[in-house]
Amino acid sequence: MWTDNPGAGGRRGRLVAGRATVFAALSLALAAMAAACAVVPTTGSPRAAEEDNSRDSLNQPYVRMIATPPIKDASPEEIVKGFQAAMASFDDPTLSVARQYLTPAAAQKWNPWRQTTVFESKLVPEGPSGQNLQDAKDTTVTLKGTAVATIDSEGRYTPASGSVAQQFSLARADGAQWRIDEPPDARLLSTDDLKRDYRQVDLYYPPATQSEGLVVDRVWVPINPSTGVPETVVRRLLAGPTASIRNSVSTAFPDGTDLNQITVEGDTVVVDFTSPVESVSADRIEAMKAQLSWTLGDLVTGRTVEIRVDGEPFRGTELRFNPRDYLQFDPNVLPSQPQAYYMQGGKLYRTKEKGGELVYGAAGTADAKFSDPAISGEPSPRVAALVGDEGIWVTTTVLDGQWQRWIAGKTKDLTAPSWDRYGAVWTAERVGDHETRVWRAMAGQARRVNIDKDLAESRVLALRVSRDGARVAMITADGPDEAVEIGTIVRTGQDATITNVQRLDPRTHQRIVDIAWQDAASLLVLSKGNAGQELSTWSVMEGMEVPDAAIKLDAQAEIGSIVAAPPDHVLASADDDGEVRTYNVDKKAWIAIAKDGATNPVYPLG
Amino acid sequence: MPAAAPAKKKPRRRTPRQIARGVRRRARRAAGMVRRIWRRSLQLRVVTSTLVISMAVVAVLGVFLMQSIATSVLKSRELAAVEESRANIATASGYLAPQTAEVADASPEGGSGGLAANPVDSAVSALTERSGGRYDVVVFNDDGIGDGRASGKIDYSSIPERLRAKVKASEEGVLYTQPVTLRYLGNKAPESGLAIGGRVNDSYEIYHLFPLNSEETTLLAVQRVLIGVGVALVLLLAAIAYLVTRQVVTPVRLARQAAERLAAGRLEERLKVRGEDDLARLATSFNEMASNLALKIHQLEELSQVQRQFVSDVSHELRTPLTTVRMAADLLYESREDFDPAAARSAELMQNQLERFESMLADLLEISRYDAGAATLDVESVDMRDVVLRAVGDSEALAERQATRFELRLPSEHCMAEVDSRRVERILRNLLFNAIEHGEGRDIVVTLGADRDAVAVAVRDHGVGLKPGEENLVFDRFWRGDPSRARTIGGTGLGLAISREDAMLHGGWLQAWGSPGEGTQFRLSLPRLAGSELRGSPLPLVPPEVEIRRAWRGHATPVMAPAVAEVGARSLENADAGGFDVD
Repeated sequence: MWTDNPGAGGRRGRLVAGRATVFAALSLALAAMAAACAVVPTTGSPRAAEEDNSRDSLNQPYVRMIATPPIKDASPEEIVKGFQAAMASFDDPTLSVARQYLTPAAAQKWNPWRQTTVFESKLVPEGPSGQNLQDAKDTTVTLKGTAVATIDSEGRYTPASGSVAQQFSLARADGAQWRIDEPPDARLLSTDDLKRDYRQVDLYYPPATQSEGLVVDRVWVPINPSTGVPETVVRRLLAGPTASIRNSVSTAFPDGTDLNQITVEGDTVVVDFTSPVESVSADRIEAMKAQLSWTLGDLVTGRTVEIRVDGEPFRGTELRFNPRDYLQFDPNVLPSQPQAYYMQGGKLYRTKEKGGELVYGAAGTADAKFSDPAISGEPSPRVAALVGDEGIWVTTTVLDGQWQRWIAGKTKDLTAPSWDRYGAVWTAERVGDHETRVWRAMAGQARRVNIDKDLAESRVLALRVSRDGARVAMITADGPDEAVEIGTIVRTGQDATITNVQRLDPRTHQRIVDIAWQDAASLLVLSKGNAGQELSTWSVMEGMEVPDAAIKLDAQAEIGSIVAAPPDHVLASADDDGEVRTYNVDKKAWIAIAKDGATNPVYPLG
Repeated sequence: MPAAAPAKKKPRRRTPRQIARGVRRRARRAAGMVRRIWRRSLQLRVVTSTLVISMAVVAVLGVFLMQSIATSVLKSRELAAVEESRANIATASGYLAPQTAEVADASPEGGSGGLAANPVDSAVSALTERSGGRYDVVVFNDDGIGDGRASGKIDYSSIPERLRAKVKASEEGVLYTQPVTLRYLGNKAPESGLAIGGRVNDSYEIYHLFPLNSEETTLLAVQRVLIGVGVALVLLLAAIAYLVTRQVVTPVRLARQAAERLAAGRLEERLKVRGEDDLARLATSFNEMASNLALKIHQLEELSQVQRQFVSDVSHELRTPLTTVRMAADLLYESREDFDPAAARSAELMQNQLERFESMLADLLEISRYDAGAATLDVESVDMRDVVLRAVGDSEALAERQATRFELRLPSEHCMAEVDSRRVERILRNLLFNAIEHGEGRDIVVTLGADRDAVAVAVRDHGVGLKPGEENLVFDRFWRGDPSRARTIGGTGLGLAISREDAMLHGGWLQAWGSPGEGTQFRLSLPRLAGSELRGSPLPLVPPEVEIRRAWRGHATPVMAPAVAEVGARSLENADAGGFDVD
């Protein structure tokens, strides 16, 4: 009946349609709910993966030795071995476990902190042969090994060599157990122990002249397991620089400052000092921050650092800073991609992507004949060079820059000039046959540098000031022997002194071709021996050749000079081919960057 | 409420015992109040029980949930840790294998200076490197000197000796785990963790110490959320219960209030009807009931009015013919000596029954006056001793006929009370007649007692007494203790009913006590001042000698007679108190 009524049919149709809509909506909602209820989503849009930043990267993992007390009825060799192992444990600052290996009297007076002696890994204790230990009251055990280095109480690493035999006399102590009677007043560690327990740390101190910048002091510090690496490092920083550069640097931290603790709060590394730190003068706060930033180095990369005093904000305000803001304190001064220069046809060129371009000023012309240019580290660099036969001249690299004479002298008597970061040009002059003078010229005024008698009497073939301005590297010749020596520069007012001159490479009978500062702590030495040319990298503060140097040199190549810049830029001039080459670390190959008589590559400073 | 106010606030010093007592009293009062509220509020009960039940359910659920979450989280962590430890131990066993030199050289740490690193160092460094600080590694080797290593700041004494003993005795490749507290060197706080140990290459024990603080944090967060949700749920349920019961209880409460008002006689009270739900239907039914009740009550009132009017009218109407009958009967009675003996006897009988009929009619009229509320008091101050003596004097003749003696116990001084002496005399007369009738010739004791507020007269006989439950029936109209017994004195059956109405008109009490074989005592208690409320009676309802006898028979404590119990707690107290006043 109602089917006859179109209106009713339409209404029904609408009704059905409405119901379908409702049903669809309901099922959709149900599906959405079911999807929301799923614990693990199975679909979703792609997004960038999140890093887990919660881990405490400040405390890098490290491994410690577990000191074990002597076992019962141990043989004398075992006692010595156990004693040596217990000394390698830094868990207990009083070394109480190691003292258990000593007789009570020896344990009382044993002082292992004066020096640490490092041996090669294999330390073999040798007992007395043929002695009947059953009835013996005392015996001697010899620990034989190859000496590697000694580390003094302030952490300075000095290489050593030769085989060492350390004698231990043992006696029977309580319970007829063997105990060491006369221990050496030193800690004996193997290289493994050193690697495990010590960290090579670069401490940074502002120069004593109060100028901006930092000077590196590389030391080895034992990691205190109860506080971890960062606290150990900062405590060592507060303890002050090593004796070798004590006079040329200062520290921004006031006397008596101690560290409470270092904690991580989110992205902030909180360094909590004791209250004396608040007495720092306002103009040294920046230096203090720079010291912290650079000394903590990688440990605080990408974080902010906050200085607190006994848990309270520094002088009532939050002293928070980003280590990135202290990059200008870089002891290496140069940017990570430093500009390189070279000589070609008697003119100074600046390297570019392809080829090179002439520098502005007098150095870009061949008007005056000059050689051995040195580039200063300023934003608009100056060039110092041996000009003609009239000493060292300096020009700017702006348009119309003209040569100015800074140091007078005969070119053949002067070493190539070297800039320091404070805008001074250094050179050594040969006066007569038996005297060497070192000159330092600032703003055209040359002053003599005080040097000790040994240096004054030796012949200086080359002199290079390090980029942090704290050290000088020299090639000295004593008869046929050539050696590399490192001195520390102490500046007092207008005067400068080179002190603490140390020979770097103990080897003899070789010719040193050139030296170049890689960075503030390492020096490249190009030497020529019987086997041909050799390029080695030396850590100047450890007096140690860096093993596994990255750069391989073709022994047959005739390299006239090298320059280097941090982190791993090296330029060499192949005099035979008239090429300047750069070393590509990734490809492990030398690549020419300038040809056709290019020579004398230069990086600013160094 | 003031119950909470501590006693210490009062400036007056009190002994601790007093304070304790005060506190206890207040606590008791508060508890009583809470109990009362609890008993009276359905809503409170429903909400509280919902709260308690939901709390229990939520707590059980929460604990169960928490346990299962904790178990699954920790289990998965433990499995992952064991897997990692197993992989690490396999790596380490490679390093620690006897042909260590090549392996060590191949390792990245083997490099420096071209020296072959100590295999233990290489192994532990590799493991530590892999851990990245997520866990710590400790290696022990009891057979080698200087082979113990620990990573990071972990204090290796965190590894329990029991675990070490297990590991040392275990097969290689079998791992043992134990939950431990991880202690650290320096000032890092200890944390809970998991130690997993295994033995490799004969004597090396390698332990992995996994901190579980992230799991702990997660579980604590879950626990917090669970507690929060649980509390919210319980509160929500309580709120729902509150709202729901409010919806139900409010109309019920309104209905209760309406019913109370209805009970108080306000028959016009009605409930508001809203909606069509069960409560609305309840209200409708209530309203119907109320209107029906009002109708019925109205009808009954009318009926009762009609009946009273009828009785009153009948009594009046009967009086006129009765007067005529009376006059005729008097005539017949006076001239009875002229009749033959049988007729004379009939005349005498008629005379007697006519007198009775008259008095009954008078009583009926009297009681109908009470029913109609027409009775009034004619109050004057009288000496109750005179009233008693007059009533006794009126009863002397009858008493002599029954060979009964009265024993009067009257106070020596005046005993004034504001009463209607005519009505009180009638009450006493009724009581005395009653006592004489049921006293079986034994002595009747009449006692008059008084105190500051009230006077009381007790009439005691030593007849058969009343059976339990009859103490109130005696005041019913036309009630007989023993229907088979004939009325010797010829009471109308309305005397006690009228007496009680009289007593109530005075604002006093008329009460009966009786015990089979011990007789009966009626006590009339009246306030001294007309219109004042009667608080107690100067005389005990139960005769003192009976009380003492019972106390003797029973135990030291007096046992109340059932009759006394019937009277109610208040008059009972008064009766007891009155027992000491009497002499």
